[in-house]
Amino acid sequence: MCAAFAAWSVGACALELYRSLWLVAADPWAADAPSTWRLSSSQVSRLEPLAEAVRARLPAETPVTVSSVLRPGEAFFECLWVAYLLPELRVRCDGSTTAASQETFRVALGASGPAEDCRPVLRAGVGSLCAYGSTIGLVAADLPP
Amino acid sequence: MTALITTIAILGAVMLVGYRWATWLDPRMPTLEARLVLGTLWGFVLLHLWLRGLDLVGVPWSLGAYIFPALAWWPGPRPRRDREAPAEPAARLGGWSPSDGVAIALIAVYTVFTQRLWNVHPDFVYHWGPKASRFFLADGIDHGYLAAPWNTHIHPDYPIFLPSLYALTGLVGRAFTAHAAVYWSVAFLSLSVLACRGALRDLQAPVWLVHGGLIVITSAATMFATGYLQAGGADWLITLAMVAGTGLLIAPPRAGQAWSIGAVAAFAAAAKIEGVPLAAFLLVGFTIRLSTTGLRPAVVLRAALRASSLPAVVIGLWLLRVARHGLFQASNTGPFDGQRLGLVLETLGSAWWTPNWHGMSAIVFLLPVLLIARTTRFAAALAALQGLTYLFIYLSTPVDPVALVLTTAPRLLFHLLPAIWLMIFVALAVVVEPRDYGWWACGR
Repeated sequence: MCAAFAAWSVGACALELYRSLWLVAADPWAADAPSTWRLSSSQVSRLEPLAEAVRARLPAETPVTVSSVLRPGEAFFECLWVAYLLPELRVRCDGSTTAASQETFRVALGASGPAEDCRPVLRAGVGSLCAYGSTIGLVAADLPP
Repeated sequence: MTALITTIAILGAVMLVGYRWATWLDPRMPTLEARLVLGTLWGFVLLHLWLRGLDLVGVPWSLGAYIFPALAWWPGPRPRRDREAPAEPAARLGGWSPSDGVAIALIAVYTVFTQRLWNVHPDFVYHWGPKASRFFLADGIDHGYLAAPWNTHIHPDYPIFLPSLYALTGLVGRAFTAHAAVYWSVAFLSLSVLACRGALRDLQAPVWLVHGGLIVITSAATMFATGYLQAGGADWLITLAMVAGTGLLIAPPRAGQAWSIGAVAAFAAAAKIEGVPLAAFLLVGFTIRLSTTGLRPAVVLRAALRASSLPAVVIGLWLLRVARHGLFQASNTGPFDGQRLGLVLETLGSAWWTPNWHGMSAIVFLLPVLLIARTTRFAAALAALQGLTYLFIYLSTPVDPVALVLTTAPRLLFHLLPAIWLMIFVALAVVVEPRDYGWWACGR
Protein backbone atom coordinates (compact mmCIF):
# COMPACT_ATOMS: atom_id res chain seq x y z
CA MET A 1 0.00 0.00 0.00
CA CYS A 2 2.85 2.35 0.89
CA ALA A 3 4.50 1.68 -2.48
CA ALA A 4 1.19 2.29 -4.24
CA PHE A 5 0.78 5.61 -2.45
CA ALA A 6 4.33 6.59 -3.35
CA ALA A 7 3.85 5.63 -7.01
CA TRP A 8 0.56 7.53 -7.14
CA SER A 9 1.98 10.70 -5.61
CA VAL A 10 5.26 10.71 -7.55
CA GLY A 11 3.48 9.98 -10.82
CA ALA A 12 0.88 12.67 -10.19
CA CYS A 13 3.58 15.13 -9.23
CA ALA A 14 5.52 14.40 -12.42
CA LEU A 15 2.35 14.89 -14.49
CA GLU A 16 1.57 18.15 -12.75
CA LEU A 17 5.09 19.48 -13.24
CA TYR A 18 4.95 18.52 -16.92
CA ARG A 19 1.57 20.20 -17.30
CA SER A 20 2.88 23.34 -15.62
CA LEU A 21 5.90 23.46 -17.91
CA TRP A 22 3.63 23.01 -20.92
CA LEU A 23 1.46 25.91 -19.79
CA VAL A 24 4.52 28.10 -19.27
CA ALA A 25 5.75 27.33 -22.78
CA ALA A 26 2.33 27.71 -24.41
CA ASP A 27 1.48 30.91 -22.53
CA PRO A 28 -2.19 30.57 -23.51
CA TRP A 29 -3.55 33.41 -21.39
CA ALA A 30 -5.77 35.69 -23.46
CA ALA A 31 -5.48 39.47 -23.39
CA ASP A 32 -9.15 39.79 -22.57
CA ALA A 33 -9.01 37.43 -19.58
CA PRO A 34 -6.73 39.05 -17.00
CA SER A 35 -8.34 36.93 -14.27
CA THR A 36 -6.37 34.01 -15.72
CA TRP A 37 -3.04 35.76 -16.17
CA ARG A 38 0.03 34.61 -14.33
CA LEU A 39 2.86 36.74 -13.10
CA SER A 40 5.21 35.20 -15.65
CA SER A 41 2.80 35.44 -18.60
CA SER A 42 3.43 37.67 -21.61
CA GLN A 43 0.23 39.63 -20.97
CA VAL A 44 1.73 41.01 -17.80
CA SER A 45 4.98 41.85 -19.57
CA ARG A 46 2.93 43.91 -22.02
CA LEU A 47 1.63 46.05 -19.17
CA GLU A 48 5.04 46.76 -17.72
CA PRO A 49 6.23 49.48 -20.18
CA LEU A 50 3.08 51.45 -19.49
CA ALA A 51 3.52 51.03 -15.75
CA GLU A 52 7.15 52.15 -16.01
CA ALA A 53 6.19 55.25 -17.98
CA VAL A 54 3.42 56.16 -15.55
CA ARG A 55 5.68 55.59 -12.56
CA ALA A 56 8.29 57.89 -14.07
CA ARG A 57 5.72 60.57 -14.72
CA LEU A 58 3.61 60.67 -11.59
CA PRO A 59 4.69 61.36 -8.02
CA ALA A 60 3.99 58.79 -5.34
CA GLU A 61 0.49 58.68 -3.86
CA THR A 62 -1.09 60.23 -6.93
CA PRO A 63 -4.70 59.05 -7.26
CA VAL A 64 -5.23 57.08 -10.44
CA THR A 65 -8.18 55.21 -11.91
CA VAL A 66 -8.11 52.69 -14.70
CA SER A 67 -10.39 52.38 -17.69
CA SER A 68 -10.58 49.31 -19.84
CA VAL A 69 -12.39 47.96 -22.85
CA LEU A 70 -12.94 44.63 -21.15
CA ARG A 71 -16.22 43.56 -19.60
CA PRO A 72 -16.57 44.72 -15.99
CA GLY A 73 -15.47 41.50 -14.27
CA GLU A 74 -12.28 41.20 -16.29
CA ALA A 75 -11.68 44.96 -16.22
CA PHE A 76 -11.55 44.71 -12.45
CA PHE A 77 -8.81 42.10 -12.63
CA GLU A 78 -6.95 44.17 -15.21
CA CYS A 79 -7.07 47.05 -12.76
CA LEU A 80 -5.68 44.77 -10.03
CA TRP A 81 -2.70 44.00 -12.26
CA VAL A 82 -2.12 47.73 -12.79
CA ALA A 83 -2.37 48.29 -9.04
CA TYR A 84 0.16 45.53 -8.44
CA LEU A 85 2.58 47.08 -10.91
CA LEU A 86 2.11 50.59 -9.48
CA PRO A 87 2.14 50.22 -5.70
CA GLU A 88 3.49 53.76 -5.25
CA LEU A 89 0.28 55.23 -6.65
CA ARG A 90 -3.22 55.13 -5.22
CA VAL A 91 -4.77 53.01 -7.93
CA ARG A 92 -8.51 52.71 -7.43
CA CYS A 93 -10.15 49.51 -8.60
CA ASP A 94 -13.51 49.92 -6.92
CA GLY A 95 -15.21 50.58 -10.25
CA SER A 96 -16.34 54.00 -9.22
CA THR A 97 -17.27 56.12 -12.21
CA THR A 98 -18.40 59.09 -10.19
CA ALA A 99 -15.10 59.91 -8.60
CA ALA A 100 -13.87 62.14 -11.41
CA SER A 101 -13.71 65.07 -9.04
CA GLN A 102 -11.26 63.14 -6.91
CA GLU A 103 -9.34 61.24 -9.54
CA THR A 104 -6.43 63.12 -10.95
CA PHE A 105 -5.28 60.69 -13.57
CA ARG A 106 -6.65 57.80 -15.50
CA VAL A 107 -4.81 54.89 -17.04
CA ALA A 108 -6.68 53.78 -20.12
CA LEU A 109 -6.01 50.29 -21.34
CA GLY A 110 -6.77 49.01 -24.80
CA ALA A 111 -8.88 51.09 -27.11
CA SER A 112 -10.91 52.65 -24.35
CA GLY A 113 -9.19 55.99 -24.89
CA PRO A 114 -9.44 59.02 -22.67
CA ALA A 115 -12.65 60.58 -21.59
CA GLU A 116 -13.47 63.85 -23.28
CA ASP A 117 -12.42 65.89 -20.30
CA CYS A 118 -9.22 63.91 -19.77
CA ARG A 119 -6.15 65.44 -21.38
CA PRO A 120 -3.68 62.91 -22.85
CA VAL A 121 -0.33 62.91 -21.12
CA LEU A 122 1.60 59.93 -22.38
CA ARG A 123 1.20 56.79 -24.37
CA ALA A 124 3.23 53.69 -23.74
CA GLY A 125 2.82 50.05 -24.58
CA VAL A 126 -0.78 48.93 -24.30
CA GLY A 127 -2.17 52.06 -22.74
CA SER A 128 -1.99 55.73 -22.05
CA LEU A 129 -2.29 58.24 -19.27
CA CYS A 130 -4.55 61.24 -19.20
CA ALA A 131 -5.16 64.01 -16.71
CA TYR A 132 -8.33 65.57 -15.42
CA GLY A 133 -8.79 69.26 -14.81
CA SER A 134 -5.59 71.16 -14.61
CA THR A 135 -3.57 68.02 -14.00
CA ILE A 136 -2.68 65.07 -16.15
CA GLY A 137 -4.34 61.69 -17.11
CA LEU A 138 -3.42 58.32 -18.51
CA VAL A 139 -4.75 56.61 -21.62
CA ALA A 140 -3.48 53.95 -23.98
CA ALA A 141 -2.92 52.45 -27.36
CA ASP A 142 -4.93 49.60 -28.74
CA LEU A 143 -4.52 46.10 -27.54
CA PRO A 144 -2.48 44.17 -30.06
CA PRO A 145 -4.43 41.52 -31.95
CA MET B 1 19.84 36.37 -5.96
CA THR B 2 19.68 39.18 -3.39
CA ALA B 3 16.14 38.19 -2.48
CA LEU B 4 17.18 34.57 -2.01
CA ILE B 5 20.13 35.52 0.22
CA THR B 6 17.96 37.91 2.19
CA THR B 7 15.27 35.29 2.67
CA ILE B 8 17.83 32.78 3.89
CA ALA B 9 19.37 35.37 6.24
CA ILE B 10 16.01 36.30 7.75
CA LEU B 11 15.01 32.64 8.02
CA GLY B 12 18.30 31.99 9.81
CA ALA B 13 17.65 34.80 12.27
CA VAL B 14 14.09 33.58 12.84
CA MET B 15 15.33 30.03 13.45
CA LEU B 16 18.08 31.23 15.78
CA VAL B 17 15.72 33.26 17.93
CA GLY B 18 12.88 30.74 17.81
CA TYR B 19 15.10 27.74 18.51
CA ARG B 20 16.36 29.34 21.70
CA TRP B 21 12.87 30.13 22.95
CA ALA B 22 11.32 26.84 21.82
CA THR B 23 14.00 24.65 23.39
CA TRP B 24 13.90 26.69 26.57
CA LEU B 25 10.16 26.39 27.02
CA ASP B 26 9.71 22.89 25.58
CA PRO B 27 13.08 21.23 26.14
CA ARG B 28 11.86 17.68 25.63
CA MET B 29 11.06 17.99 21.95
CA PRO B 30 12.00 14.53 20.76
CA THR B 31 13.50 15.10 17.32
CA LEU B 32 15.74 17.67 15.75
CA GLU B 33 13.09 18.15 13.08
CA ALA B 34 10.57 19.12 15.77
CA ARG B 35 13.05 21.53 17.30
CA LEU B 36 13.78 23.16 13.97
CA VAL B 37 10.15 23.43 12.88
CA LEU B 38 8.64 24.48 16.20
CA GLY B 39 11.60 26.75 16.80
CA THR B 40 11.02 28.44 13.45
CA LEU B 41 7.32 28.86 14.19
CA TRP B 42 8.27 30.41 17.52
CA GLY B 43 10.62 32.71 15.64
CA PHE B 44 7.92 33.73 13.16
CA VAL B 45 5.51 34.54 15.97
CA LEU B 46 8.15 36.55 17.84
CA LEU B 47 9.08 38.38 14.63
CA HIS B 48 5.41 39.17 14.04
CA LEU B 49 5.05 40.57 17.57
CA TRP B 50 8.34 42.43 17.21
CA LEU B 51 7.23 44.15 14.01
CA ARG B 52 3.85 44.99 15.51
CA GLY B 53 5.65 46.41 18.53
CA LEU B 54 7.90 48.54 16.34
CA ASP B 55 4.82 49.80 14.54
CA LEU B 56 3.10 50.69 17.81
CA VAL B 57 6.06 52.75 19.01
CA GLY B 58 6.71 54.25 15.60
CA VAL B 59 10.14 52.75 14.90
CA PRO B 60 10.80 52.04 11.20
CA TRP B 61 11.11 48.34 10.48
CA SER B 62 14.30 48.89 8.52
CA LEU B 63 15.95 50.00 11.75
CA GLY B 64 14.23 47.90 14.37
CA ALA B 65 14.40 44.63 12.46
CA TYR B 66 18.16 44.42 12.90
CA ILE B 67 17.70 44.24 16.67
CA PHE B 68 15.40 41.22 16.38
CA PRO B 69 18.20 38.59 16.42
CA ALA B 70 19.21 39.91 19.83
CA LEU B 71 16.09 38.22 21.20
CA ALA B 72 18.05 34.99 20.96
CA TRP B 73 20.25 36.25 23.77
CA TRP B 74 17.43 37.59 25.90
CA PRO B 75 18.00 36.42 29.48
CA GLY B 76 14.98 34.13 29.26
CA PRO B 77 15.73 31.89 26.32
CA ARG B 78 19.23 30.83 27.25
CA PRO B 79 19.28 27.05 27.41
CA ARG B 80 18.94 26.02 31.02
CA ARG B 81 20.88 22.96 31.97
CA ASP B 82 18.34 21.94 34.58
CA ARG B 83 15.58 21.92 31.98
CA GLU B 84 17.51 20.34 29.16
CA ALA B 85 16.13 17.03 28.06
CA PRO B 86 18.35 14.02 28.28
CA ALA B 87 19.78 12.94 24.96
CA GLU B 88 17.28 10.75 23.16
CA PRO B 89 17.81 8.41 20.24
CA ALA B 90 15.72 10.53 17.87
CA ALA B 91 17.30 13.83 18.83
CA ARG B 92 19.42 13.82 15.69
CA LEU B 93 18.18 14.02 12.15
CA GLY B 94 18.56 10.30 11.77
CA GLY B 95 20.16 8.47 8.89
CA TRP B 96 19.84 9.87 5.41
CA SER B 97 17.96 7.79 2.91
CA PRO B 98 16.91 7.89 -0.73
CA SER B 99 13.56 9.33 0.38
CA ASP B 100 15.40 12.35 1.74
CA GLY B 101 17.03 12.69 -1.66
CA VAL B 102 13.64 12.57 -3.36
CA ALA B 103 12.27 15.19 -0.97
CA ILE B 104 15.25 17.48 -1.51
CA ALA B 105 15.00 17.04 -5.28
CA LEU B 106 11.30 17.95 -5.23
CA ILE B 107 11.98 21.00 -3.08
CA ALA B 108 14.70 21.98 -5.55
CA VAL B 109 12.27 21.64 -8.45
CA TYR B 110 9.74 23.77 -6.58
CA THR B 111 12.45 26.32 -5.94
CA VAL B 112 13.21 26.54 -9.67
CA PHE B 113 9.53 27.01 -10.53
CA THR B 114 9.31 29.66 -7.85
CA GLN B 115 12.47 31.42 -8.95
CA ARG B 116 11.02 31.66 -12.45
CA LEU B 117 7.72 32.96 -10.99
CA TRP B 118 5.84 30.19 -12.81
CA ASN B 119 3.71 29.21 -9.84
CA VAL B 120 2.82 32.50 -8.14
CA HIS B 121 -0.55 32.61 -6.40
CA PRO B 122 -3.04 35.06 -7.96
CA ASP B 123 -3.77 36.44 -4.50
CA PHE B 124 -0.16 37.52 -4.30
CA VAL B 125 -0.91 39.91 -7.16
CA TYR B 126 -4.37 40.87 -5.96
CA HIS B 127 -3.63 41.66 -2.33
CA TRP B 128 -0.68 40.03 -0.53
CA GLY B 129 1.87 41.59 -2.86
CA PRO B 130 0.35 45.10 -2.97
CA LYS B 131 0.06 45.13 0.82
CA ALA B 132 3.67 44.05 1.16
CA SER B 133 4.75 46.72 -1.35
CA ARG B 134 2.95 49.39 0.60
CA PHE B 135 4.44 48.19 3.89
CA PHE B 136 7.85 48.23 2.22
CA LEU B 137 7.33 51.80 0.99
CA ALA B 138 5.97 52.91 4.38
CA ASP B 139 8.73 51.05 6.26
CA GLY B 140 5.98 49.69 8.48
CA ILE B 141 2.26 49.07 8.38
CA ASP B 142 0.50 51.44 6.00
CA HIS B 143 -2.71 51.92 7.95
CA GLY B 144 -3.98 54.59 5.58
CA TYR B 145 -3.74 52.23 2.64
CA LEU B 146 -5.50 49.44 4.52
CA ALA B 147 -8.27 51.73 5.72
CA ALA B 148 -8.93 53.46 2.39
CA PRO B 149 -12.63 52.92 1.66
CA TRP B 150 -11.94 52.16 -2.01
CA ASN B 151 -9.48 49.45 -1.09
CA THR B 152 -11.74 46.78 0.34
CA HIS B 153 -10.71 44.26 -2.32
CA ILE B 154 -7.30 43.90 -0.68
CA HIS B 155 -8.93 42.35 2.40
CA PRO B 156 -7.61 44.94 4.84
CA ASP B 157 -8.88 42.95 7.82
CA TYR B 158 -6.75 39.90 7.12
CA PRO B 159 -3.91 39.18 9.55
CA ILE B 160 -0.76 40.85 8.33
CA PHE B 161 2.10 38.55 9.25
CA LEU B 162 2.69 37.45 5.67
CA PRO B 163 2.85 40.90 4.01
CA SER B 164 4.96 42.08 6.94
CA LEU B 165 7.41 39.24 6.34
CA TYR B 166 7.56 40.03 2.63
CA ALA B 167 8.03 43.74 3.27
CA LEU B 168 10.78 43.03 5.79
CA THR B 169 12.58 40.87 3.23
CA GLY B 170 12.39 43.76 0.80
CA LEU B 171 13.61 46.25 3.38
CA VAL B 172 16.60 44.12 4.36
CA GLY B 173 17.41 43.47 0.70
CA ARG B 174 16.87 47.15 -0.18
CA ALA B 175 14.29 46.38 -2.90
CA PHE B 176 10.87 44.87 -3.02
CA THR B 177 10.29 42.41 -5.83
CA ALA B 178 8.13 39.33 -6.16
CA HIS B 179 11.20 37.29 -5.37
CA ALA B 180 11.41 38.93 -1.95
CA ALA B 181 8.15 37.16 -1.21
CA VAL B 182 7.93 33.91 -3.11
CA TYR B 183 11.07 32.25 -1.73
CA TRP B 184 9.27 32.07 1.60
CA SER B 185 6.97 29.49 0.07
CA VAL B 186 9.99 27.24 -0.47
CA ALA B 187 10.79 27.67 3.21
CA PHE B 188 7.22 26.75 4.17
CA LEU B 189 7.35 23.64 1.97
CA SER B 190 10.66 22.60 3.51
CA LEU B 191 9.36 23.14 7.03
CA SER B 192 6.18 21.18 6.30
CA VAL B 193 8.22 18.24 4.99
CA LEU B 194 10.55 18.46 7.96
CA ALA B 195 7.59 18.48 10.36
CA CYS B 196 6.17 15.32 8.78
CA ARG B 197 9.55 13.58 8.86
CA GLY B 198 9.95 14.46 12.52
CA ALA B 199 6.45 13.26 13.42
CA LEU B 200 7.01 9.88 11.76
CA ARG B 201 10.44 9.46 13.35
CA ASP B 202 9.13 10.51 16.74
CA LEU B 203 6.58 7.72 16.47
CA GLN B 204 9.47 5.37 15.70
CA ALA B 205 7.46 4.08 12.77
CA PRO B 206 9.04 1.41 10.58
CA VAL B 207 11.75 2.93 8.43
CA TRP B 208 10.01 2.10 5.17
CA LEU B 209 6.92 3.98 6.37
CA VAL B 210 8.98 7.02 7.26
CA HIS B 211 10.49 6.97 3.79
CA GLY B 212 7.18 6.33 2.09
CA GLY B 213 5.45 9.06 4.04
CA LEU B 214 8.18 11.54 3.25
CA ILE B 215 7.96 10.82 -0.49
CA VAL B 216 4.16 10.91 -0.61
CA ILE B 217 3.76 14.08 1.44
CA THR B 218 6.51 15.98 -0.40
CA SER B 219 5.22 14.87 -3.80
CA ALA B 220 1.63 15.76 -2.99
CA ALA B 221 2.52 19.18 -1.60
CA THR B 222 4.91 20.02 -4.44
CA MET B 223 2.40 18.80 -7.00
CA PHE B 224 -0.46 20.95 -5.83
CA ALA B 225 1.64 23.97 -4.90
CA THR B 226 3.11 24.01 -8.39
CA GLY B 227 0.05 23.24 -10.46
CA TYR B 228 -2.41 25.30 -8.44
CA LEU B 229 0.00 28.23 -8.03
CA GLN B 230 0.65 28.51 -4.31
CA ALA B 231 3.91 30.49 -4.21
CA GLY B 232 3.52 33.81 -2.45
CA GLY B 233 0.11 32.91 -1.05
CA ALA B 234 -0.88 32.43 2.56
CA ASP B 235 -2.27 28.92 2.28
CA TRP B 236 1.21 27.52 2.86
CA LEU B 237 1.15 28.89 6.40
CA ILE B 238 -2.05 27.08 7.32
CA THR B 239 -0.71 23.90 5.72
CA LEU B 240 2.44 24.20 7.81
CA ALA B 241 0.45 24.90 10.99
CA MET B 242 -1.76 21.89 10.29
CA VAL B 243 1.13 19.44 9.90
CA ALA B 244 2.98 20.90 12.89
CA GLY B 245 -0.20 20.74 14.99
CA THR B 246 -0.88 17.20 13.80
CA GLY B 247 2.61 16.18 14.85
CA LEU B 248 2.02 17.60 18.31
CA LEU B 249 -1.38 15.93 18.72
CA ILE B 250 0.10 12.58 17.70
CA ALA B 251 3.18 12.82 19.90
CA PRO B 252 2.99 11.72 23.53
CA PRO B 253 2.14 14.62 25.84
CA ARG B 254 5.21 16.06 27.55
CA ALA B 255 6.03 18.83 29.93
CA GLY B 256 6.40 22.06 27.98
CA GLN B 257 4.31 20.86 25.05
CA ALA B 258 1.71 23.52 25.85
CA TRP B 259 4.16 26.21 24.74
CA SER B 260 4.70 24.49 21.40
CA ILE B 261 0.96 24.10 20.86
CA GLY B 262 0.64 27.80 21.66
CA ALA B 263 3.33 28.72 19.14
CA VAL B 264 1.65 26.72 16.36
CA ALA B 265 -1.76 28.21 17.21
CA ALA B 266 -0.32 31.73 17.31
CA PHE B 267 1.42 31.19 13.98
CA ALA B 268 -1.84 30.02 12.41
CA ALA B 269 -3.75 32.98 13.82
CA ALA B 270 -1.13 35.41 12.52
CA ALA B 271 -1.34 33.91 9.04
CA LYS B 272 -4.94 34.03 7.86
CA ILE B 273 -8.44 34.40 9.23
CA GLU B 274 -8.85 30.65 8.70
CA GLY B 275 -5.97 30.26 11.14
CA VAL B 276 -8.01 31.72 14.00
CA PRO B 277 -10.48 28.80 14.20
CA LEU B 278 -7.57 26.44 13.63
CA ALA B 279 -5.83 27.96 16.65
CA ALA B 280 -8.99 27.55 18.72
CA PHE B 281 -9.44 23.90 17.69
CA LEU B 282 -5.80 23.18 18.38
CA LEU B 283 -6.03 24.62 21.89
CA VAL B 284 -9.31 22.87 22.68
CA GLY B 285 -8.03 19.56 21.30
CA PHE B 286 -4.83 19.84 23.30
CA THR B 287 -6.74 20.59 26.48
CA ILE B 288 -9.26 17.77 26.06
CA ARG B 289 -6.47 15.34 25.23
CA LEU B 290 -4.53 16.39 28.30
CA SER B 291 -7.60 16.12 30.49
CA THR B 292 -7.98 12.44 29.53
CA THR B 293 -4.52 11.60 30.81
CA GLY B 294 -5.47 11.55 34.46
CA LEU B 295 -3.69 14.78 35.28
CA ARG B 296 -5.23 16.97 37.95
CA PRO B 297 -7.66 19.59 36.54
CA ALA B 298 -5.49 22.38 37.94
CA VAL B 299 -2.49 21.09 35.99
CA VAL B 300 -4.55 20.80 32.82
CA LEU B 301 -5.90 24.31 33.33
CA ARG B 302 -2.40 25.71 33.80
CA ALA B 303 -1.23 24.00 30.63
CA ALA B 304 -4.24 25.31 28.73
CA LEU B 305 -3.55 28.83 29.93
CA ARG B 306 0.09 28.53 28.91
CA ALA B 307 -0.90 27.27 25.47
CA SER B 308 -3.47 30.04 25.03
CA SER B 309 -1.28 32.95 26.07
CA LEU B 310 0.65 33.47 22.84
CA PRO B 311 -2.34 33.02 20.50
CA ALA B 312 -4.37 35.33 22.71
CA VAL B 313 -1.78 38.08 22.26
CA VAL B 314 -1.66 37.57 18.49
CA ILE B 315 -5.43 37.44 18.08
CA GLY B 316 -5.89 40.36 20.47
CA LEU B 317 -3.49 42.54 18.48
CA TRP B 318 -5.24 41.56 15.26
CA LEU B 319 -8.69 42.41 16.63
CA LEU B 320 -7.38 45.65 18.10
CA ARG B 321 -5.96 46.74 14.74
CA VAL B 322 -9.09 45.75 12.85
CA ALA B 323 -11.40 47.51 15.33
CA ARG B 324 -9.24 50.60 15.69
CA HIS B 325 -9.16 51.24 11.95
CA GLY B 326 -12.63 49.90 11.18
CA LEU B 327 -11.27 47.29 8.80
CA PHE B 328 -13.63 44.37 9.30
CA GLN B 329 -15.42 43.57 6.07
CA ALA B 330 -19.11 42.80 6.16
CA SER B 331 -18.58 40.43 3.24
CA ASN B 332 -16.70 38.04 5.53
CA THR B 333 -19.83 36.56 7.02
CA GLY B 334 -23.57 36.50 6.67
CA PRO B 335 -26.58 34.64 8.01
CA PHE B 336 -26.32 30.85 8.07
CA ASP B 337 -28.36 29.33 5.27
CA GLY B 338 -28.70 25.58 5.63
CA GLN B 339 -30.79 25.37 2.48
CA ARG B 340 -27.65 25.94 0.48
CA LEU B 341 -26.16 22.69 1.69
CA GLY B 342 -27.17 20.69 -1.38
CA LEU B 343 -25.85 23.32 -3.76
CA VAL B 344 -22.61 23.74 -1.81
CA LEU B 345 -21.97 20.00 -1.58
CA GLU B 346 -22.67 19.59 -5.28
CA THR B 347 -20.23 22.38 -6.11
CA LEU B 348 -17.71 21.00 -3.65
CA GLY B 349 -17.96 17.71 -5.46
CA SER B 350 -16.72 19.27 -8.67
CA ALA B 351 -14.22 21.65 -7.06
CA TRP B 352 -12.55 18.92 -5.02
CA TRP B 353 -11.89 16.80 -8.09
CA THR B 354 -9.86 19.53 -9.71
CA PRO B 355 -7.24 17.83 -11.91
CA ASN B 356 -4.49 19.47 -9.85
CA TRP B 357 -5.20 17.05 -6.99
CA HIS B 358 -5.04 13.96 -9.20
CA GLY B 359 -7.68 12.20 -7.13
CA MET B 360 -5.94 12.76 -3.80
CA SER B 361 -8.94 14.67 -2.48
CA ALA B 362 -10.41 11.21 -1.85
CA ILE B 363 -8.25 10.73 1.23
CA VAL B 364 -10.50 13.19 3.07
CA PHE B 365 -13.01 10.36 3.26
CA LEU B 366 -10.55 8.44 5.44
CA LEU B 367 -11.02 11.01 8.20
CA PRO B 368 -13.78 8.98 9.92
CA VAL B 369 -11.37 6.03 10.14
CA LEU B 370 -8.62 8.27 11.46
CA LEU B 371 -11.07 9.62 14.03
CA ILE B 372 -11.54 6.10 15.35
CA ALA B 373 -7.85 5.21 15.47
CA ARG B 374 -6.53 6.00 18.91
CA THR B 375 -3.23 7.48 17.75
CA THR B 376 -4.72 9.89 15.25
CA ARG B 377 -8.12 10.75 16.66
CA PHE B 378 -7.28 14.20 18.01
CA ALA B 379 -5.35 15.21 14.92
CA ALA B 380 -8.18 13.90 12.75
CA ALA B 381 -10.69 15.85 14.81
CA LEU B 382 -8.59 18.97 14.21
CA ALA B 383 -8.68 18.43 10.44
CA ALA B 384 -12.38 17.54 10.47
CA LEU B 385 -13.35 20.62 12.48
CA GLN B 386 -11.26 22.83 10.24
CA GLY B 387 -12.97 21.33 7.20
CA LEU B 388 -16.40 21.81 8.77
CA THR B 389 -15.48 25.45 9.43
CA TYR B 390 -14.94 25.92 5.72
CA LEU B 391 -18.32 24.30 5.06
CA PHE B 392 -19.89 26.69 7.56
CA ILE B 393 -18.29 29.63 5.75
CA TYR B 394 -19.75 28.43 2.46
CA LEU B 395 -23.17 28.19 4.07
CA SER B 396 -23.02 31.64 5.58
CA THR B 397 -21.18 33.72 3.02
CA PRO B 398 -23.03 36.77 1.73
CA VAL B 399 -21.39 36.37 -1.69
CA ASP B 400 -22.20 33.81 -4.38
CA PRO B 401 -21.42 30.46 -2.68
CA VAL B 402 -20.88 28.62 -5.96
CA ALA B 403 -18.19 31.03 -7.11
CA LEU B 404 -16.61 31.00 -3.65
CA VAL B 405 -16.50 27.21 -3.50
CA LEU B 406 -15.10 26.86 -7.00
CA THR B 407 -12.34 29.39 -6.40
CA THR B 408 -11.33 28.38 -2.88
CA ALA B 409 -12.18 24.73 -2.16
CA PRO B 410 -9.16 23.15 -3.89
CA ARG B 411 -6.69 25.31 -2.00
CA LEU B 412 -8.54 25.05 1.31
CA LEU B 413 -8.11 21.32 0.82
CA PHE B 414 -4.40 22.02 0.59
CA HIS B 415 -4.56 23.07 4.26
CA LEU B 416 -5.73 19.59 5.19
CA LEU B 417 -4.32 17.01 2.80
CA PRO B 418 -0.63 16.96 3.82
CA ALA B 419 -1.74 16.57 7.45
CA ILE B 420 -4.19 13.81 6.51
CA TRP B 421 -1.43 12.02 4.59
CA LEU B 422 0.70 12.23 7.72
CA MET B 423 -2.11 10.73 9.80
CA ILE B 424 -2.57 7.93 7.28
CA PHE B 425 1.08 6.93 7.58
CA VAL B 426 0.91 7.11 11.36
CA ALA B 427 -2.18 4.88 11.33
CA LEU B 428 -0.48 2.51 8.89
CA ALA B 429 2.48 2.23 11.24
CA VAL B 430 0.21 1.16 14.07
CA VAL B 431 -1.62 -1.32 11.86
CA VAL B 432 1.30 -3.01 10.11
CA GLU B 433 3.59 -3.21 13.09
CA PRO B 434 1.49 -3.39 16.23
CA ARG B 435 3.66 -2.50 19.18
CA ASP B 436 4.11 0.24 21.71
CA TYR B 437 4.10 3.40 19.64
CA GLY B 438 4.37 5.58 22.64
CA TRP B 439 2.29 7.00 25.37
CA TRP B 440 -0.90 7.69 23.50
CA ALA B 441 -1.10 4.61 21.31
CA CYS B 442 -0.82 2.49 24.43
CA GLY B 443 -3.90 4.14 25.83
CA ARG B 444 -2.37 4.92 29.14
